[in-house]
Amino acid sequence: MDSFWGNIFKRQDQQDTYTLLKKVPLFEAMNPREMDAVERIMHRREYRAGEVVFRQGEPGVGMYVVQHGLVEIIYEPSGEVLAELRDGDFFGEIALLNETPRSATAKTTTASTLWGLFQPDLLDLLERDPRLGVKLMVPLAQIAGRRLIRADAQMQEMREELAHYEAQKKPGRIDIQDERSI
Amino acid sequence: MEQKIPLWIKIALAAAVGVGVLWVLASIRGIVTLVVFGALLAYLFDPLVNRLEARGLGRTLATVVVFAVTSLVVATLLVLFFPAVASQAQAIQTGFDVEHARDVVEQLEGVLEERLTVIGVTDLDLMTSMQEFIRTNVDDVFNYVPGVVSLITQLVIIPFIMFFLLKDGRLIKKGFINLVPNRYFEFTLNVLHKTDVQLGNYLRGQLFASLVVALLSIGALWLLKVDYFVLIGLFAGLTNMIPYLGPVAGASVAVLVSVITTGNLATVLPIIITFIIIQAIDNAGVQPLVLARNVNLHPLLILLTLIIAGKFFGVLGLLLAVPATAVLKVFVQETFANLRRYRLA
Repeated sequence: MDSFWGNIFKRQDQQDTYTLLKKVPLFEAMNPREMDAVERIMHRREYRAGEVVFRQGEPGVGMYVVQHGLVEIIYEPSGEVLAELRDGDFFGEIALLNETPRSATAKTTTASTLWGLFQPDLLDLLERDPRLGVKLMVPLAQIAGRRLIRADAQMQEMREELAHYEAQKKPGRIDIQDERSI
Repeated sequence: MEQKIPLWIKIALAAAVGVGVLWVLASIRGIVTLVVFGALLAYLFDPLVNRLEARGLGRTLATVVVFAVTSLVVATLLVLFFPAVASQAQAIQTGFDVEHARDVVEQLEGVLEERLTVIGVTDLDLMTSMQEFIRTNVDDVFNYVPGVVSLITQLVIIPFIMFFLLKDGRLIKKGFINLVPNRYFEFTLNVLHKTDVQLGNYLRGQLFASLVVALLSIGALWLLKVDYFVLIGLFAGLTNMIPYLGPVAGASVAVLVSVITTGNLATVLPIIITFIIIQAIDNAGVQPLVLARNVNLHPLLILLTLIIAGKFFGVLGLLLAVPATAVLKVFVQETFANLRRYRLA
């Protein structure tokens, strides 16, 4: 009987995880069988309130999806809270592509359950099941691409602002020179 | 939230845990050797299983296929080579061709006695002491090799361990990582991954290099008509895993056997040249292709490892000593490198 109830609860639990992960753009295109394979390489971690998930500057090895709880992304040393992440949100996905230092600290503010997907496991999956690996890599590349476009746009905006600022400043500079010549 | 534990307490705790673990391992060394052997085999065959998985086979089926094919190859090799190896081993155990050996030793004895009269040595009686030495030492070696019953047990247990580590290795690793506290979780994951990448290349490369050396040695010794060429070739292949000492050991055994069995020194130079050529092929052609460069073990470390492994784990321990030390070295190296990066030290 135990295994019967165990199976039912497990199925319910799996259903919850499946629903949760389907919300993440990375897993949108996956069918239940593929989702099951991905879930097998993911790590479910329980955190107490106020526990650090990772620290700014540490090597990043993967991403997290928030199943339950609240996670703050904090920029150090100022302590500025950059984002507050809730159920279904995800963070750290760029570390799946490249082991770069974490750009901010992630800290739970309530007891939280997170699912972690890490680069070594993703690379292993790519080797074992290239088709599924590609299904994960394409959305990841799209997310990175979108970020790049956004960053480019922001940089362009800043460049324009700078040019505008310099254009406004130019007469002033002449004034200063004029003053000096006087 | 986080409490700072002084560094000396951490070091003392780590040392205590290390000593405890070593003590437990030493007291169950028989099982440890089998597990290490099974784990190394699983490690070697893992890429093959992965490749079959990539072709659409399930993990279990892929493991069964690799296991079946490997068993078949090993069985075929045993059928083909076992009679030759067994008869050669038996021949060594019963004794060398005494006539030839007597000639060589008497020649040597004559020369030595002539030179050593100055210091008062007149009767060396080398033959008796050599026969005594060979008999006791060969007996020792064969005493190390387990009896038939335990040999069969090991032949069953090692593949059993290998099969389940191949099939469920990933689950076991995941289970272990799940036990790691959150603070050390990413760190552990990173260390295990980095260790895995370095060791995979190293261990598979070592096995490939040993195989090449064994085959070349068997072929060359057969051409040079050295007796027991299969055994000596296999020995040379196995000892090739031991840097510096291994190749010398292989060549020395071949020279010794050749001199004792043929009774003259004519084959000594060709054998030495052959082994130098084989080493050159191994060093210039095989090793650069397959070995990870950063698993360099210091000669002193190798020597100490061999002494300790020989004492605690017998012949099988000697064989596993170098790869096991490489595993440990890479693991410790990665742990320390990452401790700094994760600001845990």
